[in-house]
Amino acid sequence: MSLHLLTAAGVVIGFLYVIVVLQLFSARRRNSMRTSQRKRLEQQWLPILVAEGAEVPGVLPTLEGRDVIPFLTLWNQLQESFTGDITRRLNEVARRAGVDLEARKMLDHRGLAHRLLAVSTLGHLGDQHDHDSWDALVRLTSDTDGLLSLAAARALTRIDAEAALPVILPHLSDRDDWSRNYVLAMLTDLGADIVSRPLTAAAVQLPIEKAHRLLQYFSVTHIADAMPVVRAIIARTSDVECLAACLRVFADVADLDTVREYLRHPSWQVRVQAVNVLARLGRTDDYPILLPLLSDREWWVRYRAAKALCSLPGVEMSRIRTLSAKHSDPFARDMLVHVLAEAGA
Amino acid sequence: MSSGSLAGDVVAFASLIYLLAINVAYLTLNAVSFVVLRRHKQRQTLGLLSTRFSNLEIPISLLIPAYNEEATVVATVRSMLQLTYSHFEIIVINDGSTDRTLDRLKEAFDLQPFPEVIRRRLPTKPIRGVYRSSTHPELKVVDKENGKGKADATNAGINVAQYPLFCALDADGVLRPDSLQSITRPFLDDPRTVGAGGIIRIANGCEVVNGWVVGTGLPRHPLALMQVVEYCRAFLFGRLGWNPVNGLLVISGAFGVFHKETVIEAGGYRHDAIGEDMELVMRLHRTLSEAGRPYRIVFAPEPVCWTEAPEDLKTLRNQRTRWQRGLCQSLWLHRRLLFSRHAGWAGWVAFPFALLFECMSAIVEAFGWIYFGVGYVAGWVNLDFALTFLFVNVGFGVLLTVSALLLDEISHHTFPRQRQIFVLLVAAIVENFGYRQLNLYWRVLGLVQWLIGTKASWGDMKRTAGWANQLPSQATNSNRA
Repeated sequence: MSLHLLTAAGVVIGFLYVIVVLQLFSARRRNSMRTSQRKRLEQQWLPILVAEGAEVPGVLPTLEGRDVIPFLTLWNQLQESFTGDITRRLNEVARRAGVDLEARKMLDHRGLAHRLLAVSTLGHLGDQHDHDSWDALVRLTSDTDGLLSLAAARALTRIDAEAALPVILPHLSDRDDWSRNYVLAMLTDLGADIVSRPLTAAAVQLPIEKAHRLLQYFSVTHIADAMPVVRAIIARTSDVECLAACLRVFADVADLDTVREYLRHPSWQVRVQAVNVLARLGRTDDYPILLPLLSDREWWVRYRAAKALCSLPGVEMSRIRTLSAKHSDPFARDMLVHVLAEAGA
Repeated sequence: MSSGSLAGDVVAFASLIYLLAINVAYLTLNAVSFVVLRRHKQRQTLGLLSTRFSNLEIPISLLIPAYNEEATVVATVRSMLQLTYSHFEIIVINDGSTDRTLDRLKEAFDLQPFPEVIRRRLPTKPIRGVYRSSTHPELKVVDKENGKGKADATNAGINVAQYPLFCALDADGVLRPDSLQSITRPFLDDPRTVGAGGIIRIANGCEVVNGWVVGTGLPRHPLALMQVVEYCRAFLFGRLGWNPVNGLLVISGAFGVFHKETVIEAGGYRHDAIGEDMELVMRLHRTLSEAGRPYRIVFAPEPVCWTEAPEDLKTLRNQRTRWQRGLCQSLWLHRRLLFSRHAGWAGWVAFPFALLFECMSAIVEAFGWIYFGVGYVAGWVNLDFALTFLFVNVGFGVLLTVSALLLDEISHHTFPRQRQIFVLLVAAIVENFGYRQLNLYWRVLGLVQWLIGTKASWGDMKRTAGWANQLPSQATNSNRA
């Protein structure tokens, strides 16, 4: 019986081994073919895609079916690397090579990579008259895959930023899987002139717990649009994260009295943000107000208070040095010495 | 069974079934890894959605605990200073070295005493001083009393770190220029991520210039070569396969990134832990799942850290026994994770897997070799059965290694030359005759040492630092001036 077992094990393992080794060499062959294909495409297309100043040749090389994906990958990489005239040239070449049609077809492909490429391509092409693609991209912003939905949102903003914002803004407060950093980058690319009003208006209409999520993007807004919203939210909330997020936005000296109230807040996360506002906007007469915070029980508050003191207008470093030498609290003293050393003073 | 004894039959079949079970489990993990890798590659199609995100990278503190690392520490720091990451600091923690580690750093980077006010959130041995480099403001060196292990030194680094993420590294680690971008990507992609580990590869035999691995090669020393194969297996399917179910139980202390506040809330690295890296990850699983907090601990298949593999038996034995003790201790300390109501796949699958197939396999496999070997000589196990055991054991071992090489080919194409692949295929077979048994012996030894209560300490790593010597000493200074 054990001999049968040995034979069976041998056949199974041997079979699997042969398959895996064949796969290994086949993967190496595919890798090498992909590299040659990419090199060939780069040789053939790069001079056409990125030749500055020169006209796009009248006749373009034929793009074979198997070259569409590597071509689109290269094309999208170039789109991400350049701005201005080159991107217009890239779009012209893409349309004339017919990859816009390929991209539209790929929107319905089963593979995620194909759909991501299609979404990105359509975004870069920015065809505002292509209503079918627009509708498909709008649908994709609700896709369960976070990356695909975010890529669709980005594509929409590239096609028509103003029309895209009403589609995207509800997702910003609802979707947990949209990376804050990616969204911030997308909004930063659009610029405050486009983002500011729709974003602040959307925040006003939301309940506090959802508005809080939009507050983290207020760094992309104009302060004149943001502050009325922030003032309204801060007056209605006691949530620590929300208060801290509001304070991060404060940039108007008219609000300094409100900010100073938060220096005594029980949560250090709020206190530290209030200190940061004083570091940005504070006046010389904030000096005595900040002094007690050098003895705060939280390291970050002491550290930021020391930094804020150094940055107040009209406060000389010699005054801080004297303070550090004479302060009765060793924690405050050490922190002042630390911050002075950081400042090289 | 020549004797036909029922007990013998049962033991032999039980051993074979265990052997089959462990290998089928690994093959399953392997298959999952293929799927994960395929999906991962699809998601990487567009690179970082856009290359314009560089200003939004999450600031990170690189923590390099060093104990008697005078041979490599300067070269490591020089290499780290060249990383292409927008916002990072390097903190070297000199854990009471008895050699010239601190002096070498002072000389190389013009370190000046700095009156740092340390936020002592994790208890550590006293800190003697903090230094800052006058030539590289992003470099700090913490000089502390010896804390008998990497855990205490890393905790001191966490206390000094000012950024939201920290990356725990070994003092001989060599990163790729983009390693930090790749390993912090899971934190950008998913805000629930609290830990991410990357791949550790063997630097022996590689060409290192100016602190970067510019050419992958294979070591000439057979011990190091076997470890290349071993690391390939351990890091690719051994970890990647756990990603979809959030079941990763270990992030290597040589290259792992963590969310600092979460680690501090969990109590930092445990001083008496032998495998402090695994213990921390298990504790994060246990505490976060018990608290009902959504979290992710992931393995990132792209970021690579190169490290030197021991080429002498004594160092390798010390390393392997320490790993086994660390595994046993971590599993024991966090036994509450096993089948815990909230623990998910980590407690219901990954933990039993680690217990059955990684911890206990040392005993079962050793028993199998002895039972079938002695049994054959004594005449109570017949040749067919002994051969079946040997064949299944070796055959599956080779199969798993070749699968790992396939995964590596798909994900990294680390070994570009055909000859390298042939050498690795041969090594995949050869390691089963001698090296694997030696490892098995060390694992059993580690288990015994754990049972008798050997304490945690710095691993006694003998470094040749061959790669460090390839560094032109002034190269990085000029880059960062």
